[in-house]
Amino acid sequence: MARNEVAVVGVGLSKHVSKRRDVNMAELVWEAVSACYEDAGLKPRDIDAFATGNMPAFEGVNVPEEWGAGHWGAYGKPVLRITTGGTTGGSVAHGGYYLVGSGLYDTVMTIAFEKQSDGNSTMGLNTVALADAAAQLQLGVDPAFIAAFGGGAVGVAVYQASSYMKSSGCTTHHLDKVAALCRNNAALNPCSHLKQPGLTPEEVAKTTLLQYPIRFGHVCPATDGACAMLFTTGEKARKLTSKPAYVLSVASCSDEAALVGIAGSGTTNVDPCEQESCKLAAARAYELAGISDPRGEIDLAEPYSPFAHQMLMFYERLLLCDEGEAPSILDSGSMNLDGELPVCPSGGVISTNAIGASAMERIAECAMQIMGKCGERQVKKEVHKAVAHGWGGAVNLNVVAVLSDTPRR
Amino acid sequence: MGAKAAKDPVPRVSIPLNPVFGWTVGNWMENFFDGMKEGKILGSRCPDCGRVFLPPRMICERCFAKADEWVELPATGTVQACTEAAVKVAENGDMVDLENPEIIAMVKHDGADTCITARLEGADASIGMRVEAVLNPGAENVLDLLAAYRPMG
Ligand SMILES: [Zn+2]
Repeated sequence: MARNEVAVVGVGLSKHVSKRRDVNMAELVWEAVSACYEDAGLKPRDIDAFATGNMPAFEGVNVPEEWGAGHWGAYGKPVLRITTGGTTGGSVAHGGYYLVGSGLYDTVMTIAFEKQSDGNSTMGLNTVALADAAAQLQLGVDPAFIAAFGGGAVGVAVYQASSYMKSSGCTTHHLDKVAALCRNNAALNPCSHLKQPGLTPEEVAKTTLLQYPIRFGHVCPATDGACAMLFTTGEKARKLTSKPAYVLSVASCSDEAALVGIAGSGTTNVDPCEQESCKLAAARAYELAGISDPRGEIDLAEPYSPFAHQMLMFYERLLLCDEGEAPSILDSGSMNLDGELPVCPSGGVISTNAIGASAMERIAECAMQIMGKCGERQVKKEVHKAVAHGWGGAVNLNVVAVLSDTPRR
Repeated sequence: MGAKAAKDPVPRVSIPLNPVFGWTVGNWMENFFDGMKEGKILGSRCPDCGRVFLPPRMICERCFAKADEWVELPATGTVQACTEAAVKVAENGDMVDLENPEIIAMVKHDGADTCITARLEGADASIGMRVEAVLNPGAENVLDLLAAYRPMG
């Protein structure tokens, strides 16, 4: 029953901004879903099943799919919810791949979203880190301090950034350059949130220092937005479009929990920049995709990088170069839209972060670049193979997908 | 075991969390509230199946069509289901006992295909009872614009 060929035939994104007051959560998601149906030339009657997810606890609305699904064309259809923290959107898309690849369903829509302006994301993150919070309270740490830093994402990122910088030789100037590169790419993406055309590294360096070594300019915004994708069989995909994006493989890998704590990188004190699970997931994904030389075969990468250093760190952990090489590759211009291996052509998570949707948007961007649908931000080189990544869970889950313009042999 | 086991060996801590969540109602519900401020009851109609949603909603889930035809509906309707409330939620979020129980009814307005659930004045209610909406166009809180339903005749 299992199928060898699964392809993406449609992508849809809502408008991504800080606050959407004109739509409720289901209506916001409807925008992405409608755009996706239109992109693929399909209607709800053509869809066999739906997979969806967002961050639990962020909006304080649980099981949103149960009342939202009808707004997405899922009336009378199977709906499966998948949620894995920051990697949610990636896991949902992987779910779409599994549903079609298993042979159980032909055409599946995957939907991921977040409406952060309605919710309380810090509160949501704190529920991820409750075990740490309990331990800190027993040590007499002020609850207000815990609330601010117990699960705050910046708190996780600063340890990771400083450790990565020490081990790789990445400087703060490299962080400024990453931010400038991404925000300039985002300016060419109609669905991105923070568009800063012409932003220079020098301007990023002048932004407020939030927590060493991370400045305001190195951090993602909080976004309201949604993403939808359509997965179908290779056979159906070729009937629908002359240029489908085939999913060669997906792989996800969980690591030791590395929740943030006052002790540093967390409960198990794993070096937060190690990201062994990313390397393992990437190696597995390349193997399944039949890729023996990712450095030579991958044309484009969308690493999940809400913080500037992560674009370089995950470029390395996705096995696209040796560890410590990414900063000099950035300097060479290879990561630019017209470079040898463009990185985050969408503008990346650092420019747009509707949390639950973000890891799916990495896969969506790879698919759109392969299908040649990226307009002004379409990379100069022809994209045959692209790698998409997501990072989340208890800051220890990595998800990787490899897409291609030709099916797996 | 004995006395030793009775003592909880695991120290417990309580974690103070004070989340604040919001809810954006969106343009369709905003339009509904704006209508009531002018004494009008506005529903939205699906262009495909013709169903009329009250309160209005943007998408007809059965047709996946945008319900963007607006219709003004009469204040009159019929009770589809009802129950009795013995407590209410106070402003601080606590449950407090009501002095007199209140009737809560699901009302389908004439010309609508969906129901509004709200308080029904009086002490008696039955399914099929004819009622009319009592609007309070000057209400400060939009949730008070529809004050209650009142039995007819
Ligand atoms: Zn309809």
